Amino acid sequence: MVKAIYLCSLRERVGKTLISIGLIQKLKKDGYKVGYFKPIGTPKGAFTNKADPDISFVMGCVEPDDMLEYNQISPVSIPDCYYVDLIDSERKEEYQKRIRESYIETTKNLDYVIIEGAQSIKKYIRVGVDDLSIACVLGIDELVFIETESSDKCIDNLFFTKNYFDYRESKIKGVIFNKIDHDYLARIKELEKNHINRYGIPILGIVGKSLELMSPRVSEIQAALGASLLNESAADALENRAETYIIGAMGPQAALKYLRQVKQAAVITGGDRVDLALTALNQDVSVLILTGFIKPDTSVITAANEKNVPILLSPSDTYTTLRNMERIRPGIQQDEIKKVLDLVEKTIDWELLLK
Amino acid sequence: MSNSDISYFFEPNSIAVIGASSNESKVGHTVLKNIIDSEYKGKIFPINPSTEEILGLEAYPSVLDVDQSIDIAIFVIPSKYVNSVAKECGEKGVRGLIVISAGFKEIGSEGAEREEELKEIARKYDMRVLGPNCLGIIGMEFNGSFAVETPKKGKIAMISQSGAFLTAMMDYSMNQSYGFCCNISLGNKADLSAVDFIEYLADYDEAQVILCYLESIKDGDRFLEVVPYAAHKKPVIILKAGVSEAGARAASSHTGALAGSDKAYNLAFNKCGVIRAKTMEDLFDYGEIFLYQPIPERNSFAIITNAGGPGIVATDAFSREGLKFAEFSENILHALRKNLPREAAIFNPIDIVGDATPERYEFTLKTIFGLNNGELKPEDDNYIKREEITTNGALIILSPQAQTKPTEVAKLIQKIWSEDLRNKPLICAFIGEKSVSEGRKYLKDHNIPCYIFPDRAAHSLKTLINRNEFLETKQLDKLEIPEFEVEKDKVSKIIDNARDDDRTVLLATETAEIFHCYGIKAPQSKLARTPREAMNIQKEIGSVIMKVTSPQIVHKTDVGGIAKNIQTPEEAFEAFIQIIDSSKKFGPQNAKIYGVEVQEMIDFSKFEKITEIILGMSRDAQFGPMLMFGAGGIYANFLKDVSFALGYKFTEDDAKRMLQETKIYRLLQGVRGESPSDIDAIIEVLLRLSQLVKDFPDIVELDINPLLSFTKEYSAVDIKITISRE
Repeated sequence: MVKAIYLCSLRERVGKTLISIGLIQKLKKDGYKVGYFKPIGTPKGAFTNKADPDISFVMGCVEPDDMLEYNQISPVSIPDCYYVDLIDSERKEEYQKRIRESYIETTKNLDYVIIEGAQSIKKYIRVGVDDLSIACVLGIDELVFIETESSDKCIDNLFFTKNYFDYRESKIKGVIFNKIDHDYLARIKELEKNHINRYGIPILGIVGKSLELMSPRVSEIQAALGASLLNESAADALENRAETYIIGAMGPQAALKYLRQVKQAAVITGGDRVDLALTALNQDVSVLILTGFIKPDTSVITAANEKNVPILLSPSDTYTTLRNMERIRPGIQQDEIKKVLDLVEKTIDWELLLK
Repeated sequence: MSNSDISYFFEPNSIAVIGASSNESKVGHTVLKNIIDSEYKGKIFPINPSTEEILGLEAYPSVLDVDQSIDIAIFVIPSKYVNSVAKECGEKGVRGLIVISAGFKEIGSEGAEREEELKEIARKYDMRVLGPNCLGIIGMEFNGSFAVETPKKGKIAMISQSGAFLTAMMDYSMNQSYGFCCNISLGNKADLSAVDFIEYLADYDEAQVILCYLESIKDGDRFLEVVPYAAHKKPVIILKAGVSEAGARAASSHTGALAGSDKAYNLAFNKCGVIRAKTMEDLFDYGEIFLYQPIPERNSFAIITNAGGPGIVATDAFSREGLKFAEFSENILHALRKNLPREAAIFNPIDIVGDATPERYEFTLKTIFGLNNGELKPEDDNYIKREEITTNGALIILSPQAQTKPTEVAKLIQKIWSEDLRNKPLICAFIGEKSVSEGRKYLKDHNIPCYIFPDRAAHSLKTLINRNEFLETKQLDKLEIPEFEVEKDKVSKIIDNARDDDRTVLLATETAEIFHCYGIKAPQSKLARTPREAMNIQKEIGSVIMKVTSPQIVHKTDVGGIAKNIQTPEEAFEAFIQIIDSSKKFGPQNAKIYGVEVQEMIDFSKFEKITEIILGMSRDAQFGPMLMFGAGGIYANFLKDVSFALGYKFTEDDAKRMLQETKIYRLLQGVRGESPSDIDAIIEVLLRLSQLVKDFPDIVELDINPLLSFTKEYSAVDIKITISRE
């Protein structure tokens, strides 16, 4: 019989998709037949586009053993906005039936299935298709809780969740701490002994924040800024990540101090700052973003081509450019799933998780 | 490109002109004509597939059709054809290429690719390349350029990164007394750079002085290796353009080169004995003075003037330049007193007053150099003996008065100098124009520099003295560089670990360990990752200072990442939380915080005197480590009381000089009855630091601020080390 790992959380953007991808890869690597199931998908559109991009992405990344239909992996689709109008509490039974049938069909030949829960355990509780209700319908009595708080508030979250699960007569299989700040990793270990163990919640893994996976691609920056690429020859480098943003407003020697301390930086400066652009291009730079729509000197383009660094010409001023960059929510890309596996593989306590 | 002998660029046996033309408007015509007109003795092969004869010489369709060997080929064809012909030259066995053609790196990507290909071809066939995008070369034996005129022959070797600069300077020199043994236009420096030519010219007998106009130096390591040798043989004078921010920008766009930091250039030039010209005028002033005037043995000069005002101006200029006045002996003063008018000032500077005749100038000049004992015999009183002469050179000022005869004065000065004073520098300032220009020209034409104003004259004298000081220093390869016993392997491991962790800024605990390995004293330090760990470490160490540990947080004070004077475990607990909270709030985005460093706090009450010092190193892209010493603490960046030295061949003398150049040095020596600080210990730290950064080119930035200096010993309190990515 299939063993289910049901991932749930108190709030959204905790990295359930990333953990799912990591778990699936690792289990496949260990020789298991693994599947992915998302009971309720969150598509962009209400009627026209019913595909949840996360689901398509997971399926594309991990190449499941049996290629199943989208509707089977994610039998119910409810968009994220104004969804109260789109989900009918009278249809609870129908939803549950659809989910149960798809689940049975999906998992019939599998050793493991990774179930990605809703954005939060509160979601759809009004209709009776929240995570705990679905787990009950599917006969799963333990869920894996994902927590991302890098402060002692995580203990309150855990305690609250534990009490809520008790009230709902459900169980937490364990907690995976994800996207944890580096400075808080040691603290969780300290809390484990004195607090977390007291609630009887095992820690299944502590996954640190991965700057690499959280940084946007140059192509994502280009799209967010509406910027044009000045040097087509560096088009392949649009897939570079930009880990840090640096505004070059100082002189080249002063800027060098900062440039040397960062890697894969997006350097934002005026198109007329030839000195700074050339200094930056001698360092580890992912992209040069020139603001004010000022085209640079030939020497800058030549140097950028030599180093294969894209130059983006931003139509906005420096402040607006930076503000738009900060709004980017980068996603995992196809070529990064190996990194996800590395990250998850060494931080999850597999024995505990699969017990 | 391995072939380091480039003599064939100066004395070629045969030259091919690729793109030679009969059409007078073409560069290919000018170049060929210049070679012929310069009475070149070797063989000339015009290469042009569409004609059989150019300027009376047989033309060949290709270099491969020439049945004799070719030493150098000069390219004056469109850039798109250069590489295919360069290949043919390689097959033919041509040794050097002078690529005058433009259309390479300076035009953008397409040109840059072409230039790379050219370099590759040259490498393959072991050919050396001058240019592309250059004016060519004008040597003693031939003019292989498209310059309008061939300059006068002489003893100056001129190297220029700008062709236009070169032509302007050659034109200027036409009315001067000096000439050139070679004029080299570097262009894009695809292969041969100024350093290659300086290396060659060091042993080239025709060159007495090397002048360079440069916008950037790319091969800094070779520069440091080669140029000191050349500078010990003959003066190397460089005008390095692109000093200011705006200048650097212009230089960058000029040849696609990145201008290095000016401070590093200054340090490198000083280290190598290069005389740095600040202006184009300086470049030729220096060239002229080194060409004609001897180097004085000591800094001890006289001023002779016929006017009080200009004499004072000259005195001020002497003081500004650090030039010293010679003290005259009793006998000299006696002679001057006896023979000069009563109103004359006989002490240095000597004012021979407005009605000075040529004879009075002659008398004074001869007297101060002991050439004028008249009727006196050596055994007589007042006879001026050789050993009394302390004057090592003179500045002679002439202001046109009613009785002044400038040209006659000039002739007398020149006569005395050429007959008896050739081993002493004489420099003149003939102030004015109409009545003095003839005299000035006479002096200049006869190898005595003569300026309009005394300031420039004083500056030139100072340059001669600097040269003397440099010649008295040991050659760099003969310096004794101290070597301390250190634990290199441990440091390698720390750096490797940081790289594995994908960090370029080392953690405080790592820097403390590195310093320990290199014998530099730093306080005890441990990393706390939680408030509880901070409590435990505080209990173990006692009074502590706590600092956020994050590679991305450079200025800890600015983000509230420091807590001082932590005395109890409870304070350590609170400080940990406050530091992390504040650092996250005010630190840079995505800063990775490893915890808080808990460091032993110095008990200030134990020390009689504590001085905050800053020491540091920044690795320059061209010249390697630049060491820094100065006044430290939180105001270091505002006080800017710092001095720098190049880490290359860093000696104890360099360290001492660095200290002496700052104001804080006076405090270290002790003021108002204070005890002196342990200056020897600071010097040793500098030497150990220089060894560390030499052993590990991975270290690109290093800062100790502050290093607390006590009357005995010191403590490096806050250390930052940044390593390169690879």
